Amino acid sequence: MATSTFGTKPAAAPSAGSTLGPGITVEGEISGTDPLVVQGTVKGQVRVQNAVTVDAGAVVEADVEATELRVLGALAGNCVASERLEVAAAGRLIGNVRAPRIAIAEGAAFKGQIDMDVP
Amino acid sequence: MNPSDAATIGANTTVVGALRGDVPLTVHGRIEGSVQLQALLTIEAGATVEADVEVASLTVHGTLTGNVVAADRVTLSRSARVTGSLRAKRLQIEDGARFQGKIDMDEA
Amino acid sequence: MRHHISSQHTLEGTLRGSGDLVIAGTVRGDIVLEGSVHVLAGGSVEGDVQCASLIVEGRWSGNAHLSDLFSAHEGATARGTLSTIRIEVMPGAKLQLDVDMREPAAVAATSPPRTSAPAAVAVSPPSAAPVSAPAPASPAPTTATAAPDEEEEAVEDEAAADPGAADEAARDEGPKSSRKARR
Repeated sequence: MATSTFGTKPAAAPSAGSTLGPGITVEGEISGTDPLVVQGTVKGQVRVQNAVTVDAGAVVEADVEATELRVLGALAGNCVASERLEVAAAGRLIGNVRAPRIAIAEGAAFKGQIDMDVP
Repeated sequence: MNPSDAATIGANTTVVGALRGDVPLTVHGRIEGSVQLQALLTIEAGATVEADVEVASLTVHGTLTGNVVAADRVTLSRSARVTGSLRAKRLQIEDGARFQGKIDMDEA
Repeated sequence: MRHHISSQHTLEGTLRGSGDLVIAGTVRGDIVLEGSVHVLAGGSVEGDVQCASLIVEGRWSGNAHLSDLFSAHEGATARGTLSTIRIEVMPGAKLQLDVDMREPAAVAATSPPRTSAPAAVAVSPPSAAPVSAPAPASPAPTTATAAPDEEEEAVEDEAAADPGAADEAARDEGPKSSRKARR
């Protein structure tokens, strides 16, 4: 049972940004200008003018726009990273990607087109 | 305001009908009917008011059934049992209070 | 697990799952969560919320169905319908709410079940058998002994909130059980 919250402050918010932990499923669109860390499931669209991390264990079925996109989990969707895209060894990325810099670690799974010609 | 002007309805008293006034009223007993008070109405623990209530302010520790219009503030303490609608400028409800009805604080 | 939606983010869509959610930004859509939803000052939620506790310091509008506490702080704006077990409102909160408070499930299970006592009265033959016959028809008496899980809680709430229905069910069964007893 929750105790009355008057006079108490919530635990300090994590450093600026959104975190959708494991156990959360989002169906819809996430947009904004802060970093985003996804550890759960997101279906829909992500348009963030900042870094997006698809963490280990996360499942993202969405088109993603970000400055930096790091994939350590599973991402299916078309991606545009205005600065860089990184797929870690445990990451799985299925979709077309556009980014000026790309790093795909050995062991990572990737299927799709890569376009590095960003003006 | 002279404290001796305040009015009280004792624990073994029942008032049936329309009650009007402009001094603070503390109810320990029972009111059935209606209350119009340009002051603070206090319904003590153990008291029961079954009435529409129009007051300056209201504090409930007991039981109230009826619609409330308060010019200023309404406070429901943790022992309050209130059924009806509440309209007030300021509202405080303590955890433990039981309330059933509409809360309407939508003023510009 | 604590989830967080930053003040600089907007989520349009539904959020479902476990854990607690702190919203500093904007959510337009429904939230179904096992834990608590906390709308910070400056945060805004437009949508239905089903969770344990909903704590509003910012803005919320929609329908809320809570299994624990609704709490509105100074500066909060809350509009819609609220079904909850507990409520607290701080001075300075602005509410426009239809409030329905339900009995806590634990109270309905452990206190002498209000619904089975009238059932005993309706089924006048003194033997125990007819009394137990109506029991399976109404959920509340049987869940008095069962550990409530989430589904049973909801059923208990409905049964507890509407003892009239259980009474009617008992009365319906009564005459049949009496006939059984006479045989």
